Amino acid sequence: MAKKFVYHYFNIKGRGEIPRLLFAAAGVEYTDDRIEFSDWPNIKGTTPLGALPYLEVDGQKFPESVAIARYLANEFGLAGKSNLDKLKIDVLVDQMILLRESAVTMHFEKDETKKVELMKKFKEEQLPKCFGYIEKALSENSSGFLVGDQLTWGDLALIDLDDMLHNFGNLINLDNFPKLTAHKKQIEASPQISTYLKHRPVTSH
Amino acid sequence: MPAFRLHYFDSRGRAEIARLMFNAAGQEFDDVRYSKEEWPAFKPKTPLGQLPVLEVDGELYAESGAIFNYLARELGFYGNGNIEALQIDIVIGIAKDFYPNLLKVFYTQEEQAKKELIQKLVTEDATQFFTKYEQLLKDNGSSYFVGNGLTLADIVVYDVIEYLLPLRADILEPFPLLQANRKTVESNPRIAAYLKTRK
Repeated sequence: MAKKFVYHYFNIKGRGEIPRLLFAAAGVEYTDDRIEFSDWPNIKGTTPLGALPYLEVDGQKFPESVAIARYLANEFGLAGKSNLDKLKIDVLVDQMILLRESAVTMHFEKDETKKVELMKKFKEEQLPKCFGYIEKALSENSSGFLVGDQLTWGDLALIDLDDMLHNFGNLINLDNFPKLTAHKKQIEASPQISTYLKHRPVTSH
Repeated sequence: MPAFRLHYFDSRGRAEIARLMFNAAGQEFDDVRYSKEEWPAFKPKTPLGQLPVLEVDGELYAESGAIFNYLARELGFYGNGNIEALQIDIVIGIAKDFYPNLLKVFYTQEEQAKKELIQKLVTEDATQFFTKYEQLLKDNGSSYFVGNGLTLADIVVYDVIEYLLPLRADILEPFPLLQANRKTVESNPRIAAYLKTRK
């Protein structure tokens, strides 16, 4: 019997888009419950830990965005074929999460002086470190995917991160990362993903 | 089972969770420790210029979180099936939200600022954090976080609380289930033996 999935998150991409990309890539039906910020105070008490996203699996509720993404990836066979492959994907995703957090901190910093400092660190250290590592992983894998010879949730996390960096004022110039440019094209061209990207709600971030 | 070497500084830090797992599993591994003087020579050989690094049959892997998940799968501490894996990841996800507060305390040098951060950490932050964990333990209904046996979830929470107890000895007082879980981890025979002799 197929599991019944309901995914609850705000009506944004934010920290919650990877599960949606996973459902799309796997062609698995689910309810995409998009919550308006104005409704959040009423909903908060119904969530497992007072935060979004959470995933409902046959009525059981689970919080934590990364945990949810990894679970769905494993459910749908998009988590890598071996334990070492899973490790490789986790390393890459951990790097992407770190970069995302740095970008968010920097983007929302109100103190101008501090913001300039953070921006410098981001552009000169954090971004090259993360994307240098990713570019290297792509160079060492002839399939064009991040790990192994087929799509994994690492690939989806990467196109989501790239998307987010563009929303935050074009923080990355993909011209400097040819393998990444090719990767983005390859993933977004896959039928399920391109269809999903065409129809998903347009949101500010 | 592959040949494992764990590379880290000569302290518990971000490697201790891996050491606890190896010991709990009775799994042999090379516990490689670098002094401040030795580290610069090894640093360029690491994937990301940081420690810990796990060497698996000669290949080096970085990122503590990724390493812990991998070891948990290899050593049998990742539960049974995908839902239990998810539940373990949830416990870890909560800890990840908490670590920055902990690290801020360690890296703040200024006396007064440090005092204030510790105060916030052991009151507001810890309460928020422990309340979630107490709820998860209640929901699971055993003395473990997930299923009916020791998993990475129990070990991660054990390790985090290790850092907090010196800052406030009675920090677990309002949380009976967390206390019971901690006792359960400590009385695991292999872990108990390791705790007696560890650096």
